[in-house]
Amino acid sequence: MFEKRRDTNDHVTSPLQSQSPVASASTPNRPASPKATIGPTIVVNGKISGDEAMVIAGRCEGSISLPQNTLTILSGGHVRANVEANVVEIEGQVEGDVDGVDKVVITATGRMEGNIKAPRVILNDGAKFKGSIDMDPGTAETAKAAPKRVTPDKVKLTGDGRPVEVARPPPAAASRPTGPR
Amino acid sequence: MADRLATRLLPLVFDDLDLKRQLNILDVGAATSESVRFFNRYHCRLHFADLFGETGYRRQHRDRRRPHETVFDRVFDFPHGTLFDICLFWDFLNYLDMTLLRDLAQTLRRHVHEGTRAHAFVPFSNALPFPGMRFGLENAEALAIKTEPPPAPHPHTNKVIARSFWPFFVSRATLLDENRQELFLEVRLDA
Repeated sequence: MFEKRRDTNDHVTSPLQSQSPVASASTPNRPASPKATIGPTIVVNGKISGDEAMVIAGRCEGSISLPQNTLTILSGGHVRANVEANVVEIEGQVEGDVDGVDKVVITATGRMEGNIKAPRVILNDGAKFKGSIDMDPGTAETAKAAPKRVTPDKVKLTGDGRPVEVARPPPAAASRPTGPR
Repeated sequence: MADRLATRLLPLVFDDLDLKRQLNILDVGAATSESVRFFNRYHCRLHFADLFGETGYRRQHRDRRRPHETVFDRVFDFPHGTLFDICLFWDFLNYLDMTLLRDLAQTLRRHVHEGTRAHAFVPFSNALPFPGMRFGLENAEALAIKTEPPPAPHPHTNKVIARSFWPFFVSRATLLDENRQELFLEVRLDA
């Protein structure tokens, strides 16, 4: 997803890191999909907001707001902040609350303590997380295709764990659905 | 690589859930990829307490407590008014001595309601080994498991849980392989 490269010493570099610690989308002749980068030796205190993707390999404290874009915290990156972004990818460490408009991904090297709010959350094997996750798959569906969504009254599970929506019976015929109980 | 454990009582936990509102789910273990993937289907708030981890109950247990405060009052920093619909204890109850077991029940009393369901594993017999495990919810009928020594130091049988874990009561119990008993618990606050 991100065109980052790891050399033999497992040092993480991003495509923009070699140019300057913090690169902006306004640089001429830039390939598509620019990413601002906080380099590994950079420490930022305060409020970060913008309209482009961002990669953090350094340390950030305060708040980060990129609601239309992707924020990636690389392995070695440390964020102590409340974060809002369209997609949040955590390979490093995050302390704070994370609001993902589309999704939040914590990779195997990711460490997070705080609360996540996102329609979809992906936690890879090896990731460490403590806190709460607010998930609403209906939000993701609505945001993408706006399909007509019927809110079920009850749910049952099929053998593979998929919820099956069960409509409420008319009042006259209402009875408690029979289950394995 | 995780093994799988078939479960017969976990489907009861997810049976007839009211989906009109956001579900509140407590998982006392560490966050696993399987459990997060499973709950992605639900409109829910999933709390991972990670009580086995470094920030879990052991560290709090070492600290001096204020009178009437349980170890878990400090560990659980749930938003005020949080009421859980589902509590997944896995085999954590067997890591608690009787004092801590009662402490956990006392703290959770403020965070459950009459419709709360819970699931736990206990040994069938204290005379047989009961290995420690980590669990992930692969689906409603199967768990991803990893054996993680050391074994649970305070194995509690079904009878002990029934006697000492109010407001939870054992609604159903099923015997599984390897001295493992599966419990489906419900809540009765006025008992």
